[in-house]
Amino acid sequence: MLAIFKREFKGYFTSPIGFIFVGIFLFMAGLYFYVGNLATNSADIGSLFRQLTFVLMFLTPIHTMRLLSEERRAKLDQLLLTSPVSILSIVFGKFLAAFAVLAAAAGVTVLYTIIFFALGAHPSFAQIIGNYVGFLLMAGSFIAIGLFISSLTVNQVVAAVVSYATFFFLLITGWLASKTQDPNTAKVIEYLSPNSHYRNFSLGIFNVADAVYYLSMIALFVFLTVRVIEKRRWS
Amino acid sequence: MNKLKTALSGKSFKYGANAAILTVIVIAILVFVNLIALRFEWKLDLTKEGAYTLTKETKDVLNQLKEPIDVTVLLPATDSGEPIAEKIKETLDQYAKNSSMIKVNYTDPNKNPATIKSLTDKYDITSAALILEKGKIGKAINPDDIYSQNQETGEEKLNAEESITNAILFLNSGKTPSAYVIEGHGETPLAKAVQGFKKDDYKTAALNLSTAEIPADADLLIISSPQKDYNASEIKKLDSYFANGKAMLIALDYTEKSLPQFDTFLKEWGVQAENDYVVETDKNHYFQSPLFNIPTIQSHEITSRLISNNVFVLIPEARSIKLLFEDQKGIKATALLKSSNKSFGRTDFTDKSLQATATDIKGPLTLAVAITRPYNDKTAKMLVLGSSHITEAEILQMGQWGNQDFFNGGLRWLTNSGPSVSIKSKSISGEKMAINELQSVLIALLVIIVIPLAVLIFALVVWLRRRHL
Repeated sequence: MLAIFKREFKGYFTSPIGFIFVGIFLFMAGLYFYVGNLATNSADIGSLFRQLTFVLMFLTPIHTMRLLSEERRAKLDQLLLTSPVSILSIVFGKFLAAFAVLAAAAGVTVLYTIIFFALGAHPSFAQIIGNYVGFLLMAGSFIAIGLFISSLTVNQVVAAVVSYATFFFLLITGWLASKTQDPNTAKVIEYLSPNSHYRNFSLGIFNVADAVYYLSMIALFVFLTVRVIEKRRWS
Repeated sequence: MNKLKTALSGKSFKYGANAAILTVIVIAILVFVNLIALRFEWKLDLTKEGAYTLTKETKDVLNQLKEPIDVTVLLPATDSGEPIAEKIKETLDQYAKNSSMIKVNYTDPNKNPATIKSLTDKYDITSAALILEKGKIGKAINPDDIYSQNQETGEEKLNAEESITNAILFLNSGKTPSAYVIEGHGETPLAKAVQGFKKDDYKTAALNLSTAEIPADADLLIISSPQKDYNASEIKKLDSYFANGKAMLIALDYTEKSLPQFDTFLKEWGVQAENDYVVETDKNHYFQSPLFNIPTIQSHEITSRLISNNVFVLIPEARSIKLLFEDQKGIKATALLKSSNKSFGRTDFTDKSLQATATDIKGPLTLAVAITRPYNDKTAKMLVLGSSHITEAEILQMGQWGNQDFFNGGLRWLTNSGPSVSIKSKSISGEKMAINELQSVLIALLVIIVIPLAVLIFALVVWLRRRHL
C-alpha cells in the first residue's frame, strides 16, 4: 500500500496536474481569506473553510478523475492487478495519495492562522483544529466518491462530469430536505448530505456523529471501489 | 431453463451473490455505526467562551423542571445556512439534552403561515423567534432578545440562554404581576404609559386614585408625567400601599406646573424633581439635539446588562432629579443615569440659548434614580425617571439604543417578577485582528498572487523539464 501511495503521490508532482490543483486551491483560499478575514478584520477561520467546502466540490472531480480511469485506458491496470498487492491496498493507496495532496494544499493555509496570531487576535486554538479536522474529513469523503466514480469508467472526462453531477446533487440535498414536507424524511435526506455535517465544525462544535458520518462515507466508497475492480476479475 | 440453471450455478453467479451479500453487510454495519453515534450525541464545545455550553444557573433551572415546556422555534428544522439561526438551534439542542421536560419543535414560517399567524395573533407580536408554552401560559421571545449587534463596532452577541432561561422561570412561577397606571392628574394615558411593557408579562389597568382604592393585587403603580397636584388623601393611599413592600415607577417630564404635595411625597424618598430641562453640550453625550441625552450609565442591578453589552440609552427631553441623600434611615437612593459635566438644567423655559446661565443648574445631572425603602420587614421600591419618553416607538425602532433593555431591567427590579437569572451574553463575532490597510494589501498580495503563482511556476518548471522525457 505504501508503495502505491508513494508512486501516486510522486505522480501528482512529476506532472503539472498536482501543482495546478494546489495552485488553484490556494488562489481561491487566498481570495476568500481576503474577503472574509482581511477585509473585515475577522480572525474566524470558520468562514474561510465554509467557502472552501464549495471550492472542494469544483476541484475534487478534476483531482480524482484520472485516479483509476487513466490506468484502465492505458491498460496499465492489468499490471497493477496482477502484482502481489491486494486490491484494497491499491485503492486505499490511491485514495491516500489524492488526500495527501489536498492535505498539503490545506496545510499551506496554516500560514493564515499564524497571521491571525501575529496580528494580535487570539481565536480558539481548539476551534481552528476542529475546522481543519472537519474540512479534511469532508475532503476525504469527496475524494472517496470521486475515486469510486473514476473506477466506473475508462474516460476521464466522463468521470469528471459524473462526479460533478453527483456533487451537485449532494449540494442540493440540503435544499431538497427543506422542501420536503415530512420532517422525518427531511431529516434522513439531510443526514445524507455531506454539507449538513459540516455545520457543527463551522460553528465550533466537534460532534462525533459528524466525524463518523464522513469516515463512513470514505469507508463505503473505498469499499465500493474495491468491489468494482474485483468484479472485473470474475465477470 | 437450462440457461437459467447454468447462470445460477455458474462461477459468476457465485461471486456475484457473495459480493452482493458482502456489500449489504458492509452498508448495514456503516448504518448501524452511524445510528449509534447519532444516538449518543457526543459533542465537544470548541469555542473560547463556551458558546454552546449551558451555564450552571440554567442547568439548575432545568433540573428543577417538573412539568413539560414546549418550545416552538420559528425556523426550519433543516440547516438554514444562517450561522445565527444555527447557533440558536444548537443552544436549544443543549436545553433539550439537559432536560427531558423541554420539547423543541421547529415550524418553518414559510411552510406554515397559518400556524405562524395564530401564534403571532395569540401573543400579539410582530416577529418572534421562539415561543415557550407550559399548559395554557406561554411566552414569546423576540429576535432582539436573542441576538443583538452593536451598531458602532458591529460586534454580534448571542443572548439566547438568558432569554430562554428567564422565560422558563417565568412560566414556572406562573404568576403575572399586575401594574396600575394612575390617572386623574393629567398623567400620560394608560396605552402610552405601558408601551414599553411586554404584553404577556404584566396585567395592566388604569386606576383613578380619587375615586378608587388601590387594589390588593397591585404589584406596581405607575405615575407618568402628572400635571396636577395630588391631594392629601391620595398621598395617604400611596403611603399605605408601600407598607406591603410594593413598587412604583414614576416618570417625570419638565413642566411649568407646580405640584407641592407630590414634591413633598418624593422628598421623603430622597429625591427632588428640579424645575428644569436638561441641555447637554458635550457632543459625545447627545444624539442630534442637545435635548436628546446619552447619559453615562451607573452600575446597578438594572443597568448591569447595558454595561456588559456596552449599549447606551437615549433620554429625550429630560428633567433632572436631585438626590437629596444616598442613604438615610434605611432609604437607599442610587443614581442610574447621569449627564456629563458639560450639561446643565435650564430653569428659565423662555431662554432657548444653549449657553448655561447663572440661574441654570450645573451638571452632571441625575436622570434616573432607583430607591429602596424598608417597611417593617419588607422592602418597597421606587424607580424615578426624568423622562416619560424613553420607550417611545421612534426610539425603540432605531435599534441602536438600550432603552427597552433599561426599561425591562427597571421593571424586573421593581416587580421582582419571579426569580430571574443574569447570564452574560456571548460574543459570536469572533476575535478581531489589529490590521491596517497596508498590511491587509500586502498579505492579500501574498496569499492571492505570490503563493499560488509560485506553485504554478513549479508546475511550469515540471512540465518544461519533463516535456522531452
